[in-house]
Amino acid sequence: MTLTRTWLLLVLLTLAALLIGHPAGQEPLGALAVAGVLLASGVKAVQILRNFLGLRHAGTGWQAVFILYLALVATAILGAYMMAGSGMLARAH
Amino acid sequence: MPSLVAHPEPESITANADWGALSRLPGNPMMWILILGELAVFGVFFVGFAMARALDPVTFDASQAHLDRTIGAANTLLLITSGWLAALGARAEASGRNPRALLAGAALLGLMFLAVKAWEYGAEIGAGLYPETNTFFTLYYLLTGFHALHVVMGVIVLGIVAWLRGLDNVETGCAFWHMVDLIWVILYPLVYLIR
Repeated sequence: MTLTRTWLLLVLLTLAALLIGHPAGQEPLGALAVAGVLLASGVKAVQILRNFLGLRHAGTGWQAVFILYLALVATAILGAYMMAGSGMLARAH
Repeated sequence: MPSLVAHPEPESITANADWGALSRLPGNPMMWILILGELAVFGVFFVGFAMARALDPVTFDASQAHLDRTIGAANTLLLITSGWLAALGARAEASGRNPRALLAGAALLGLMFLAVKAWEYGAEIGAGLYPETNTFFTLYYLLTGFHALHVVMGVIVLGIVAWLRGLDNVETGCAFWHMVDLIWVILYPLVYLIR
């Protein structure tokens, strides 16, 4: 049942990320919505790691390594998005 | 004079090797070295894509508007459903049941993902959007193409472990498949949604 519940959660989070991402819209999402999309995707990734890949049984150390990886990537993406919004990088370029 | 010392088979060398912390992960530790390497490479790609967008958000957002976000989400659903079937397959193998139908289902959904991606590429190329069009499309084709190559390899791996069963083989093959799934879960919002 854990696997099926995980799959259902992944489907719901995919639909939630799609809704937050306004599939038909062209306007910028804004930092809050981008954070929401990244959070939904991050939770999906953690669910895949813990329940599909079986890291739940591999100890907290390995789970921490992968969660740290996801957190670093998501923070970098959000940070770059916010820098783009401020025009900081484009001006420096 | 022939040696009287028995040489261990390569398989037993692998089985008896001390893999340290990697031994706690399901499947063959060699696969986890590959998975960690792949995640590091894709992580660099993801951050590189985000930084490239930050340098030229206008071009990136205008280019992204040509992608079909709903088709991308449908492909996400195909891959996570495929991952679910693969996980059920590994559980079936662990409990002594035949996982072949589940693994075949997972591989079939992987092939459907590739068919959808090929259709997307066809539509984009038909609209005159090539890798050399601009930085967005260079990175788009590079990232999604590299990922699609992993899907192809994953389908082959699922086929091999469905044929050569055994818990270690099935867990190892499924671990690779879940890694492919995991990468898409990050790639999709980054390339298709964030603007």
